[in-house]
Amino acid sequence: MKITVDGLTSIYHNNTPFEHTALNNFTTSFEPGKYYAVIGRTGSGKSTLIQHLNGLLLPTRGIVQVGDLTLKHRTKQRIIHQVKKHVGMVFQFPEHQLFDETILKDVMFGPLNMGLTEEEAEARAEKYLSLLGVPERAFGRSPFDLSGGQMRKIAIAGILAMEPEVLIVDEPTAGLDPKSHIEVMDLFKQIQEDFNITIILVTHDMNDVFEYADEVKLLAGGQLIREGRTEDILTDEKLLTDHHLEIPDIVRLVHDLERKGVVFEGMPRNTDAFITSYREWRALHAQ
Amino acid sequence: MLSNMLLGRYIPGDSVIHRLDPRAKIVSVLLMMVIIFFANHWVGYGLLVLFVLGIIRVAQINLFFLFNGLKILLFILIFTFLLHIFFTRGGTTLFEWGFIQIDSEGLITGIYITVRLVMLLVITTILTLTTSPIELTDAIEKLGAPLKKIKIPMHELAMMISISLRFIPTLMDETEKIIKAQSARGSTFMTGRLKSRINALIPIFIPLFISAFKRAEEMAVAMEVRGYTGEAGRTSYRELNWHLRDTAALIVIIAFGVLLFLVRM
Ligand SMILES: Nc1ncnc2c1ncn2[C@@H]1O[C@H](COP(=O)(O)OP(=O)(O)OP(=O)(O)O)[C@@H](O)[C@H]1O
Ligand SMILES: [Mg+2]
Repeated sequence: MKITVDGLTSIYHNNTPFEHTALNNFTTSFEPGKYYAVIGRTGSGKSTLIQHLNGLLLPTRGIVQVGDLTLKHRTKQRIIHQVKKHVGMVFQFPEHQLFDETILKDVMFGPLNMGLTEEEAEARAEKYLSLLGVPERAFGRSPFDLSGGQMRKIAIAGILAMEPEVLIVDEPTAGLDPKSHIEVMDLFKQIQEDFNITIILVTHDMNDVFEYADEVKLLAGGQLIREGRTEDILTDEKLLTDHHLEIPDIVRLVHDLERKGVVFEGMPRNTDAFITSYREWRALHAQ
Repeated sequence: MLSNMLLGRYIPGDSVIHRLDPRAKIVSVLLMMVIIFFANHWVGYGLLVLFVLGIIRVAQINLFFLFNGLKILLFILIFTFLLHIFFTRGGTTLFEWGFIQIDSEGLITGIYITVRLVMLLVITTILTLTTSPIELTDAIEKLGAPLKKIKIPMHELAMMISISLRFIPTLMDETEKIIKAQSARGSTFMTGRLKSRINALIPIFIPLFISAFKRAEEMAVAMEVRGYTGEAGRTSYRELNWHLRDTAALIVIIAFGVLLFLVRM
């Protein structure tokens, strides 16, 4: 499912003294099956942008094209509902959306809303809870008895069970411990590869972007500053510093090493790749 | 949707009205509530509307914006208007059809009462638009000080009001977030039949209550660990200062009241 954003302008509280232009004449597109990261300093319009991609917000001007569905200023609820079937969204602190008596029922909520039967919804819920490593004996428990990290997994399963073709995640790891952080990030990568869906990740963690994303969109002040391959944008130290973003640790390390005369072939994208690159370099250069 | 609602909202600004002592503003509003009832024919009502328009002007509030924000209350206004039109008898009969009869008296009273209501709404809205919630509660506590003599816990009341006011925007934000999260899961409380709409409220209210209770608990703990024990031994960080302009404001209001009283018929 391809998403195209064309001339999107988004104004909060239009025609009031609180009026605020969050996105200004924004044009970009998201290809199917790729892993995108949307980055930019706080207030740059990231959350606003992604809420337009599944119809939670409608354009003040411009259009958002999701497959063959068009979202405009006055699009009907029926179309928006269709869009939500295709584009799933995991919000920051998704555990705040839990409400049902049991974990299983809560995960079934989305699929049921999409018009599946009880049996189908239950099968889906079981499938995705298992995928997230929730043991079957826990299905009947209340979601409110769990720890924050576990609740988040249930909430994520609730979105995955809707089997969207595009999955948008807004700062999914905020407030998680390091282990859960890695688990959650690995999970998104895995479902992107296994089910060939598009992932759009909003985050402030440049290490995650560098490790997982194929493409990056850099926002500032409601405008698209740059878009392109991750290795091109996240290795541009000046660009990142200018927009108040961290430089990924690996990029920094590789650049430091270059200054000391240790020059790798390509840019390794994660710790394992870094170690391999270093071994190769040593094999060639060390006597 | 909710964001258009103006009543109870504060917009920071720098007009004379904004800078008035909140006590002066509260007293003025109370006075105006009485004065509004002095008007009893068109001269009085005309003067009243002009005076209120003048205040809006001085407070630098956009007129269009103000009335747009009160649109939600339109229903109540129309209802009162119709009530008077149909049920007040007297004067000449303007219109008659079956058991429906409209008298000139009814039409006029309807208009007058509606103007009164609108002015009341506008006046109170101006108060909250130009006064921060903190100032409001400080003023309520100060103005209510005499009531402490008869064991009414004014400090606690003021504290409760200020905490509630403080949490209205937070709760609104929270509600909006939860609505978004659930509607991303395909929940449809905006469309569909009544029964399904009501059912769709459950996934919104339960998370909302849970987070509200959590917040209340955290807040209570945070206040306790910082040694809050109620009023005893507390001093104010913000002092309210009564200026000449506050006295002047009250005099203007009273003078207007006298004027309106004099033009009564
Ligand atoms: N509901 C709203 N009402 C009014 N203004 C808003 C609202 N939501 C966001 N804004 C404003 O729109 C701009 C963009 O906000 P947005 O939430 O998209 O930023 P962001 O890039 O996601 O920031 P962060 O990294 O802090 O999440 C900000 O200036 C913000 O103040
Ligand atoms: Mg955001």
